[in-house]
Amino acid sequence: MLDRLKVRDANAGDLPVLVDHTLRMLKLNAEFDPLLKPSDEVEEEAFGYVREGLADGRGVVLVAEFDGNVAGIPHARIVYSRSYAPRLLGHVDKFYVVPGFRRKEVGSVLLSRVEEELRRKALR
Amino acid sequence: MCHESKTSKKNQLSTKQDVNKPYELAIKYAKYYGGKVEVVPRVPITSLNDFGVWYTPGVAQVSRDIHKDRDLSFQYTNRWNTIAVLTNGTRVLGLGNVGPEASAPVMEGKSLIFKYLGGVDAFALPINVMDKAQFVEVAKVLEPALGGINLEDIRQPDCFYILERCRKEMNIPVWHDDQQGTAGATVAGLVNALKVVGKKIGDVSIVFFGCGAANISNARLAITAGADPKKMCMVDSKGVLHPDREDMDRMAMENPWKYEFALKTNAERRKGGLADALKGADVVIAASTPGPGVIKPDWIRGMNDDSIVFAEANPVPEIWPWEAKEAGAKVVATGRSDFPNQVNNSLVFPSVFRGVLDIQAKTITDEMAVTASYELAKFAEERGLSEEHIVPTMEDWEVYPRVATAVAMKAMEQGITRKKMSRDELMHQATTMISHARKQIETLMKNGIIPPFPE
Repeated sequence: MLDRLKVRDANAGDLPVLVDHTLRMLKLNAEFDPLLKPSDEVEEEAFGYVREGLADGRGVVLVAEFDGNVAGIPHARIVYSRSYAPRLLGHVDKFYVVPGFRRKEVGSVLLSRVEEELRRKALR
Repeated sequence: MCHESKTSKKNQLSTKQDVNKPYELAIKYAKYYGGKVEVVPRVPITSLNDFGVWYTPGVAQVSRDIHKDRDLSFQYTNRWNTIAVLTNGTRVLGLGNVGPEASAPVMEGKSLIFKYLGGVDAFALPINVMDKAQFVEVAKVLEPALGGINLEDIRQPDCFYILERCRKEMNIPVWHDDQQGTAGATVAGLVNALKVVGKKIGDVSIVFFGCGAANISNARLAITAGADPKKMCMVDSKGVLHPDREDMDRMAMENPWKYEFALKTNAERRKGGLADALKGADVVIAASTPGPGVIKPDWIRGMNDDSIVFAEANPVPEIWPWEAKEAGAKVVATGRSDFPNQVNNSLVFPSVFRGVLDIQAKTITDEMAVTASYELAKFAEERGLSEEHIVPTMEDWEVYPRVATAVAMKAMEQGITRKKMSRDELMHQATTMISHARKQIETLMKNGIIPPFPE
């Protein structure tokens, strides 16, 4: 199925699905650790976070699609390190694979693609 | 069903006195009899000297032999016919989590049915263990005493975890009746209902309404029997299961069994509620909340022609059978004995255990459960299929040895038994054990050892 998986840069039109899946991921974290309880304002915060990510030139926000259905949304950015010699670090902030596409190596494909994009942006 | 009989049925059900009668009698008899089962010897006792054989010193030789070959415990002790009805009382009938002590009368009732219909010595064993992993450990340490375990009335999803691990890690059959017994009877009914309407199991779309232990197992066994998961739809209190549902991540953590169904069913990606799921469907199998009115006649009207409706909620089905029929359903089954087509796990568990105990099976596979369904279906078919006769009734006592034999034969075929027997031997053994139990009870009653019901 991986040959039918299309990975592309997210755009403003993806905002609703990106927010929805970011919220799902945040709620999923709470299942692992009750201390990670989403705040009351989580929806607005997710909306703001995603919008900023799309506007950030150092950000990598991708959408993986399979036959028109969203399969995953990795969200990463380049950060400047104050402590380490390699000053530019790739940081994966959010990474969510939709349940129906798990255990099919979609995550691996997405992570490789995120690494590529981060390197490309760092060089630039 | 004609109008008159509908009216009388409604009147019959609305009589408060009738509805409460079983509760009143149960309390009265519980006080009078002090429980429903007791231990009765299998051996003669002519004098106290016999205990030198049954007990020490003679019994030491039996112990020595079993010490050399543990499987001899199935031959030299009553282990071969002994099971535990094991529960922690976390989901008893429709009462919920009433705890182990309050579950005991239900487990005793189960033991009584095991004895009367299957000739099985079943011990009611409510345990004070609420943790699912610890429950499995308790089941495992009980293994040397038992030929099998019937898990009962354990909350979901713990029951899935417990059954799965016990089946994997133990060498005696472990069965969860709320899952497999119900499924065995449902699939038997489904097989015959499909024959009545002339449809094939692999072609039909089936909606499962309710995603508790019963329907998760109904769906699993229906797939083993040939149903296509892509054409199935599962509906819970929040609506149709599909991979995009908002609560999928939580489901994956809390109930991976249900989650798997959300992924592999509903290829059409239907969304919405039961009404949406039922549009154009061939079959609905409901094991949800007591009705009536839980399934609306209008939704049945939206189903395919010659639809099949199984409304299994107790004590009142999700829709009255006559309502479903008027709305176009061809075959309707419920969990009640006062309507035609009672889908009843009592048709399954006594005979499945009779079979696995006789052949000393090490487990009960899904294939064995489906075999039980097929034999039940075949038995009903031999007596003439109709819209109102798709499954045998509990009065058809010949069905029990038949199903026991079929299950044991399947276990032998799958190579998971400690013994080998011919079909005739199995049939003879099962018939003898069941009629022996009935004769025993009759004899005890005739001699006043079991006193008659109090006035």
